[in-house]
Amino acid sequence: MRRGALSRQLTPVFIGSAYKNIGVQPILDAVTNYLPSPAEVENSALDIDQGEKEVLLSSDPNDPLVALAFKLEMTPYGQLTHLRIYQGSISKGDDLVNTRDRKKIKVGRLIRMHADEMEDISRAGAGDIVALFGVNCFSGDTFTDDRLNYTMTSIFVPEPVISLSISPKDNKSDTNMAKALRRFTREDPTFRSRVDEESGQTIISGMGELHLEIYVERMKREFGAEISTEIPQVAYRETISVRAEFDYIHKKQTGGAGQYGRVTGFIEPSEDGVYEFVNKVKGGVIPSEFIPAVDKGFQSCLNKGLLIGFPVRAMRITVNDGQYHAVDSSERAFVQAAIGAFKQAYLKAKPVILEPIMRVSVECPSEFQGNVMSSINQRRGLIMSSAEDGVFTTVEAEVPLAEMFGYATTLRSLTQGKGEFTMEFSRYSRVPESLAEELKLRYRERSKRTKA
Amino acid sequence: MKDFLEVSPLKILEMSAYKELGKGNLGVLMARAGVGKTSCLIHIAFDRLFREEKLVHVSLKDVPEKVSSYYSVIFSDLVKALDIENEHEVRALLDKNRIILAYLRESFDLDRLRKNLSNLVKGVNFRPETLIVDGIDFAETGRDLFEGFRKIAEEFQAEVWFSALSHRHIAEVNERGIPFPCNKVDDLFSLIIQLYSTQSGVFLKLLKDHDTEGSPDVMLRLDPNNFLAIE
Repeated sequence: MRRGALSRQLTPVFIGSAYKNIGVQPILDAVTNYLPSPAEVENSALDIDQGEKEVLLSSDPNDPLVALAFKLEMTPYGQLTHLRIYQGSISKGDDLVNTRDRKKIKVGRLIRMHADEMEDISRAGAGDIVALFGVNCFSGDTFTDDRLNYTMTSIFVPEPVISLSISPKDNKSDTNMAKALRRFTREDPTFRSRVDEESGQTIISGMGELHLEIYVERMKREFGAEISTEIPQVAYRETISVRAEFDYIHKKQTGGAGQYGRVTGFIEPSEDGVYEFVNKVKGGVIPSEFIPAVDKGFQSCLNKGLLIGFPVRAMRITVNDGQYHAVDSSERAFVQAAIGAFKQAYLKAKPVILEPIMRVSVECPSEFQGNVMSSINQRRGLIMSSAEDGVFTTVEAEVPLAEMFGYATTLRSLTQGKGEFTMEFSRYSRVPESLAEELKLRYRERSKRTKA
Repeated sequence: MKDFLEVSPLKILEMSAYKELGKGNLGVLMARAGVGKTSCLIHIAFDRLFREEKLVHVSLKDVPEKVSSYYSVIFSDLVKALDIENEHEVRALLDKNRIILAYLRESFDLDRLRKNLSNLVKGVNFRPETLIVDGIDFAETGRDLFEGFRKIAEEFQAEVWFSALSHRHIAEVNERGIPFPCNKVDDLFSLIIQLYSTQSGVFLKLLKDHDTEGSPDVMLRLDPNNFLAIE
């Protein structure tokens, strides 16, 4: 039986009820008798001092300690850190080192967990799972007794697939929300939090809508943070579609030293998606010391396009002529001249709005393929392929990010909870004309409100 | 930009009776291993895509990423050969009109294909005008499957192109001059084209042209580098 189970040719099945304490002992005996012994498993760590060379761990309690913090839990008495000891042992009063930040901690209470009951113990060895109070660390940190500088192979953390924008309802909630976010990002590596530079919104990201819903609920329940959620702003971009010329003179004379700078050239779309500045000025019509100022002036315009106020990408700007004044020209004057030139040419270059397109992969039982395809189609998605493998189907598609908010819930309902999806950024693509008009209108209204 | 349709391998059909395969019909491209069957089949796909027709590529052996990479490689060759300037726009247009259906680890059956095509028509409003089917082992496949494909072709009013692997060591030819492995099912196919290479080049030869009596004796020479027709 053991040989069969180890070679995965036999699968022992036990019937019982933990609630009624029926069959619990036989299944625990079976774990001991039929499943691999911990001594048969090769656990490895990375030796930081040897360029992260992989080293095997011994599971000997007398060897130097290597333990992994695999779970953090908030309790009324503070953070409880669950550790699995892979090699060596931990005793009450020992000094441990977190290999991530080299900080030392002292083992105060050493606890063996029995569900929610705690048993204080004085020593634990390789193979044991123990919990410590008062340890400031992240999930996935490795602890040693400082005789080794090992780190356990990092746990694979998938990229988050869904984001929400959150905002506190009052000042107290603001402080509590910050505390909660610090806590959650420590205990769950798949949960991320950031402040979006473009919109100033606090964005939380995770593995699914339910995942984020739970954290929002915990912020309220455990931290007393009342927050509201909304879908985050999509990171639109602007770009130009045709070449346009500029010839702009910045001239100011209001007493004292004046300002003078003239720049001539053209802007055009760039194929590789980035900003490029080309200096083709000849004969010193713009002195070389002012050329960086021209570049700086143009770059300052790229942060906020004139259509909807989003960053501008994929543009090549060529300056081929200009003029300066021996007294009134300065760096500042040429920065302003470049800004004026940009404004002069930008709208002539037929700017367009781009939106992020995500590569979406949906996996579901084949019977739901039609539902999934329809749902992607309704979201302006483009089906690329569908692969049948046994009773499962994987549908690959490209879908605008703006249409993907709430998709986890939709998919759950369409597939009786059996479908799941992942997505990653693919490229930027032009938004349809109707949406472009709507975005421009929203931008104009927002600008009016800001001015008012 | 040069016109792809002027150099498409399907130019061979200009010399055929109906100048096309036709909706509801099956066509097959047969060749020995390594001659360029898949490349040529994808050129047939590009012929339809450049006409802005909707196409489904059915793969019974490769994952979609691999099929897609075949298209990418051949498209890159076409960009050079045809001087395509607006590469991204052309590519986006071609991608929009092509969907890959892959059936991995013997997941294929006709009912499943029919259901998937119906899902495309009903759910996505994507009605394929051409099906490219790659990966069927003609030597091991009975008539039933091709009869089923014929029904699907009629039902969806699509033309269906297959690739078939012929073997050097099997010289079987039926009374109508159709070689193995198409010799027992040739009555189900409207067009049978053979791709072969000799020391003087790579050629397409029309072996069956709808209901035309006798051998059509139509040939087209291809550029061995990119499988485009040479004038």
